[in-house]
Amino acid sequence: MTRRRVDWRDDRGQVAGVEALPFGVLLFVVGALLIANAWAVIDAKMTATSAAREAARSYVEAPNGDEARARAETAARDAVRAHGRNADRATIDGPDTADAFTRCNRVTFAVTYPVPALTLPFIGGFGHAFDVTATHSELVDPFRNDVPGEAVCG
Amino acid sequence: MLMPAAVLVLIMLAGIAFDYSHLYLAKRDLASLADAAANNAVTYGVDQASIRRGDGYALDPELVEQSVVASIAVHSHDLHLIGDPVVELLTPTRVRVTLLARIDYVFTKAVPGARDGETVRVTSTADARSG
Repeated sequence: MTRRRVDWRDDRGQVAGVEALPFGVLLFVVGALLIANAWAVIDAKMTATSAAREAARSYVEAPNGDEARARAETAARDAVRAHGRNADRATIDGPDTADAFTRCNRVTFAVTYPVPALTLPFIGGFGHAFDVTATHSELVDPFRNDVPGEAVCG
Repeated sequence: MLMPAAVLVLIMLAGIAFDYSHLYLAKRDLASLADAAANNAVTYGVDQASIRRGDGYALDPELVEQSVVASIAVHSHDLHLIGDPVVELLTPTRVRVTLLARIDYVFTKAVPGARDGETVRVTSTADARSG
């Protein structure tokens, strides 16, 4: 019986077009990363939108101006946490002083959340690419009890 | 060449899924904006002279319009609103706000022949009630 030596440089047994497989895999990896990163932006935007809305609503519904900012901040961070994100990474901008808590005053909250440069499904994100920001504004109710200022909006 | 073609199709489907999520998010954002505008309008837009005259709670169309415009002015810059908001006073205490926005697709517009965006309309109604 004669033993045949295997010639690794020989391409016998290969299916024609096998070289397209790595190309397909490459396309899959790049495409999956592209979609995952784009989805990370959508996801962060959803988080920021909810947080901004909750912050503005909590502010205008607070019992007084001293508590309003703290309540808004808590509501926004709770909303971020509810989306499964790190609440400490969110930046919440809004009125800082109790003076904004007057009848008919429009309060605007902006919540910013960083988007990682590279997002891998199930693993998480790495780096910092850019920030997504969402804003929401509400009026302090002109006819509520215990709110300073006059109910003259126009 | 079937494998790369199949992967390309898969990525295109993922792109469509992404674009629809983007559309849904923008629509939700727009609805939230319309809700806030209508909600603000029914308190900001009250005609105080009507209350003092004893005619009860009624909205002043001018103030309502002014309130809606002010609410819309601080909207998120990602929303491309088309035209002015449509503000209707349905009853003396009820306001309906309709907004129209153009939402651009991200991936689907790369497909030849496919639409590059969608026009979304949302309507929100708010009613002032004594609590």
